[in-house]
Amino acid sequence: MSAVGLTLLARIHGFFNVAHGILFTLGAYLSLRFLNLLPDWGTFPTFSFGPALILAMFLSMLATGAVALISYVLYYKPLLNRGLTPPFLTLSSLGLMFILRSVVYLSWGSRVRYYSWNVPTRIPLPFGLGLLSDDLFIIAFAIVLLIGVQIFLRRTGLGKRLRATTEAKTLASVSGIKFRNMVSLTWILAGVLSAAAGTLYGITVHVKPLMGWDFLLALFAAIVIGGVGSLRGAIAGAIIVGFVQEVGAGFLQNLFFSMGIRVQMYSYKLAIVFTVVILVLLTRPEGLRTVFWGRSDR
Amino acid sequence: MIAYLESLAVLACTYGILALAVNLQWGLTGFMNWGIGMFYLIGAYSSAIITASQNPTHVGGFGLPFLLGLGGAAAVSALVAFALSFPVFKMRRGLVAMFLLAVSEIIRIAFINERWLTNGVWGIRGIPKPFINYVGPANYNHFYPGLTLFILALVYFAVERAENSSWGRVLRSIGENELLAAGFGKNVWKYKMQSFVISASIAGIAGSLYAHYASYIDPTAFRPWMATFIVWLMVIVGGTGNKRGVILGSFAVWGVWIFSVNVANLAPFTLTTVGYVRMLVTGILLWAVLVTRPQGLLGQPEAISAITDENEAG
Repeated sequence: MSAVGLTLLARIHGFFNVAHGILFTLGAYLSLRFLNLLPDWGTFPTFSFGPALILAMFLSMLATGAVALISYVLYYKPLLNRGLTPPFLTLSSLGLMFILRSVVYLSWGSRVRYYSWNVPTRIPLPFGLGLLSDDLFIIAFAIVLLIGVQIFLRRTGLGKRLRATTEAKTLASVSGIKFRNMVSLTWILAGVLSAAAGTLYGITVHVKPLMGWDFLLALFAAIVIGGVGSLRGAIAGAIIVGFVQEVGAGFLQNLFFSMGIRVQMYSYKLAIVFTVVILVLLTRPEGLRTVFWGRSDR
Repeated sequence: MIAYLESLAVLACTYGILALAVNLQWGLTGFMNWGIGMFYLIGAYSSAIITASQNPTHVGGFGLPFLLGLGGAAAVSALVAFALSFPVFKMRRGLVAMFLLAVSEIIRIAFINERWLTNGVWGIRGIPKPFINYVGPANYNHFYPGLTLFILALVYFAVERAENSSWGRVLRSIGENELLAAGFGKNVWKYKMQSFVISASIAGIAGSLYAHYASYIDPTAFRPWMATFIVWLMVIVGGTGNKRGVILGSFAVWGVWIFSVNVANLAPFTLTTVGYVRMLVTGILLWAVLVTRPQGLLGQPEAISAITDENEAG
């Protein structure tokens, strides 16, 4: 989800926004903040959270979208007016990352937080696998949100205008689309999606200041694997990365263990993912989207 | 006070060498090496393993002399850079930075996990102080800043010569117009690879100097924040492409960095919040420099484009 927001931004501005990871963190923390403000309405049966967290997540999505817009207007706009080139913009996004990260640290400290201490129910699946009820909700919510974004981008007039702007800036401006508004919209969308992703991550794992940083590297891998600039590629890449991280690490752990090599494969999740990235780059520099949808897909 | 300034100078010189390494690529070809911290880390550990005396907690401990450690640090970093240059130069420019950052995090995680190699988070102790037998422990604190300054000067002149050679001019033309350079029959990949390898070995030397100064290293000292981003801040503040500028930038940024702790003692901050406030200030500083003077304190004009523009105009 976050990958979609980042891809949109990368397409409209032509640079990779390092500060994206911190929007993810901020979204998760804002959910925590709103959750503490809201009264406790109990939890859904079998889930570890209740309606309060859902409402908090939506509030956080709005707030993070606003933060993303503000950071664009206050931080990036002067830089863009200076006419900086993409490498400088990527560098400058480091600065925004540090500003927002210090805000997170100053407001919430460095402790690891949890939304709730309740334990979700385990739903048994065939083949000895199991699925936590929370994870089921996360998957469902992510799918719904992604379909929503796809419908917004492909079916609504506003979404079409947005895609047109990211593909051909000048042509879109000539056709009467206000470039400024489209850029602002992209930033809001990126913030909203990041906040949702951050909160969902917070539900299943935990909330900590560096969560977005760890996540950013995996996100980057997803984008490269999927093919830079492709929205569907970003989603496919994200699924591949998640799969490779969890299943691949477990598989290699068992493999090495049976060979008598003692190695903690789970701490090398990132290494496994980036091996895949290198393989993809060496064989298909365009990313895997050319495998799925052909070369012309955007 | 003098001891304070001397320790400041050692690290400022080390960062100056790192900034020169970054600048060699960034200034000439516009290549963003965010893996500089990785070569710094690799250099420090190679040098430590080569020169420290034997120890069961980590691999090696060959007890070899300092100069071999320095050379080994440069060589190992160069090898890693060579291996990485195959995937790296296939990527788009904006992505390379993130890729190298990810690789350096992976290597740092590996150094934390593989205790047999590096003793993990407990680090490597007892890295010998070079030339201590000749200088004596009493004067040693005055000697080491001189040594790092000397090596900084050596690196400076080496880089200066390389940049002004025909090799450097080809790289500069690649940075400003890659197709033009390729059109002149230059093997663009080879030149980029060479500059990457050389820059990595310079960072390895910086790592070695840090290891011998601290005499104890562990992976926390090489987090991206302290090993990569601060170097980039120095380069941006000092002036992209300008060697004197980036050295000035490294002394200025490191001075402000160290001094800010003293200022913080006056303000109502605890020691942990100081780090966060410093992070905030650094972010704002980077933004301010980029908005007001994107070329840095001392900038560098584009030499080759200036010539071609002139020709087009005339």
